Amino acid sequence: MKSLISKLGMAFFAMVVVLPVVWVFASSLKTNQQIIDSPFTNPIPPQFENFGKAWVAQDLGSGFILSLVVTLLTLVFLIPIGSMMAYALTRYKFKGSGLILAVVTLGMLFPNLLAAVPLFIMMAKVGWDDTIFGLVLAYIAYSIPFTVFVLSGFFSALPEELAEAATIDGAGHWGLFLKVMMPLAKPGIWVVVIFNSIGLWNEYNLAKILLLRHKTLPVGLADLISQQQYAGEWGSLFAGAVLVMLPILTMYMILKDKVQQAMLAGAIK
Amino acid sequence: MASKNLKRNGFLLACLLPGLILYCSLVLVPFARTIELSGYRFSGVSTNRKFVGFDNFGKLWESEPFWWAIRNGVTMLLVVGPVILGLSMLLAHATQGTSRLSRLMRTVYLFPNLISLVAAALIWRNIYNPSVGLLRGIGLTGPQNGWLGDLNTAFPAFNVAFAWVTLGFYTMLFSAGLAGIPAEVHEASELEGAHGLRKYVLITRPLLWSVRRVASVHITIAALGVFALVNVMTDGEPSGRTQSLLNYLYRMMTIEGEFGKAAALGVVMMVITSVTSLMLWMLFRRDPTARRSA
Repeated sequence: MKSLISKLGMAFFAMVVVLPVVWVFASSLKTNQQIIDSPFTNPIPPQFENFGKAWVAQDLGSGFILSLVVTLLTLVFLIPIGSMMAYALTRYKFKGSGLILAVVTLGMLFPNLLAAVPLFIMMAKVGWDDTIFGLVLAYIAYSIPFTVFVLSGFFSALPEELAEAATIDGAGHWGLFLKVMMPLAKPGIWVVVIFNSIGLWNEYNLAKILLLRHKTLPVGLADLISQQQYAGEWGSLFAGAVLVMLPILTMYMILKDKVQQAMLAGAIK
Repeated sequence: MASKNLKRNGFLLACLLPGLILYCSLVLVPFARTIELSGYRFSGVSTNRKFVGFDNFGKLWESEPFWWAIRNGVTMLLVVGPVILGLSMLLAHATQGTSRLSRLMRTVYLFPNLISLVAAALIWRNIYNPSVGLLRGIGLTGPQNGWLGDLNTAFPAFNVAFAWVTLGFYTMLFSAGLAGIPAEVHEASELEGAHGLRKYVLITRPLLWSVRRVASVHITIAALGVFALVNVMTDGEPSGRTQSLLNYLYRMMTIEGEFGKAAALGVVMMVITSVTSLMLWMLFRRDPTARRSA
């Protein structure tokens, strides 16, 4: 009896979680008329041109590419910068190292929009507002707290004996860091790469504040949603939603355990 | 010796400087300047600023959307958050084990948390949409203006979407916590005759203390930090019923052009976030599994 209830509950929960996602994927292949007729019409024949419309006519293609570029560019700089910070703050004892680590990780507590007004003004003053460069700089800066928090956990767990042995073998500071410690912290690097790539691909707040002419995929899709009430191009709207969801869900299906570990690492020390 | 120290300090400087410069100039300084700018009346980048003291806070105090945002924030903290955590705890228990359904669940429940909040907002906007929506497909067209258009149903409807997005994450969190409890503890408690709710209250709940603390702080930040979901789903409509603090801040910055008021709201939120997180931390300070002092 008890297990029946829990099975039914789980099945209901699974339906609530999955049905909306399936509905979006199905609707992205339907005609407007099929979508308006009923949510349960079959997407036959599949309207693949919805994706073409979303990509070209609704200009989500340029958003897709911009999001991809911004995500990759941020990661390329964030990972070395974050690893060096976390490593220096945990493996070296110096005055203020604990305080710096605390102040840096404190950044995880506050939503980035609380700093939006001065950040926008500052970017506009130096002419970096509405530029990819400015956005990437902001992305790196606002991703540092999580990245350093997670990596400092991994670095501080590495055994001291290894460092000593490498130093006796003549390794310098950089050699020890790059050749011994970084390879050992690889699981941590996986965590921050996965967590940040999901967060950056989906990022909305800063892109909305800092960019005007350029639109990342989430911002472009959001603008499309608000126009949609009047336009009624449902098929390409749902295709746009698939464009933003598919890369992340694909990555999740391939790297399921690593993604779950990454999502957990942000919360549990 | 001196050169050795020099090398060490050079290494540390090279490691720390790039990150610290970015973090200080783009995170710390803007947060601090939010406090300063809350004392001025100005719009946009113009240098034409007028010092108005606490006037911006006074204006906030008198604005209706601000109180809707506060009310919604408090409701989400005190009612919606605990309900989500309770449900996640139930689901975490249900999805333990190795049956095919459990394993499937442990895969799919993270979907809503992984996809873009804009996509989630699009999904729920259209689930509730009275002309193309999923709910209309099963006959639940809702009130005259749709679920999200009605003064009474808009906020509950929004929170269903919020729960949909967040539930899986906390379920995963509690699952990980449950999986971390050694099998001997389960066996021993079953042998002692503790089952079901009794076992949960006496054994499992105290052992999950640190996970519950993490989850509480996490959902506090999530609930107070709601932006994209509101911004895309309702933009605070109808009549402020679904307004969130951050969406109101964004609105003041863009549509109303009241940068000083937006900064003031930023300060209010810093205080609320700090105080709430601190209170939660205090609440969960004592580890119930630690040895009790005499």
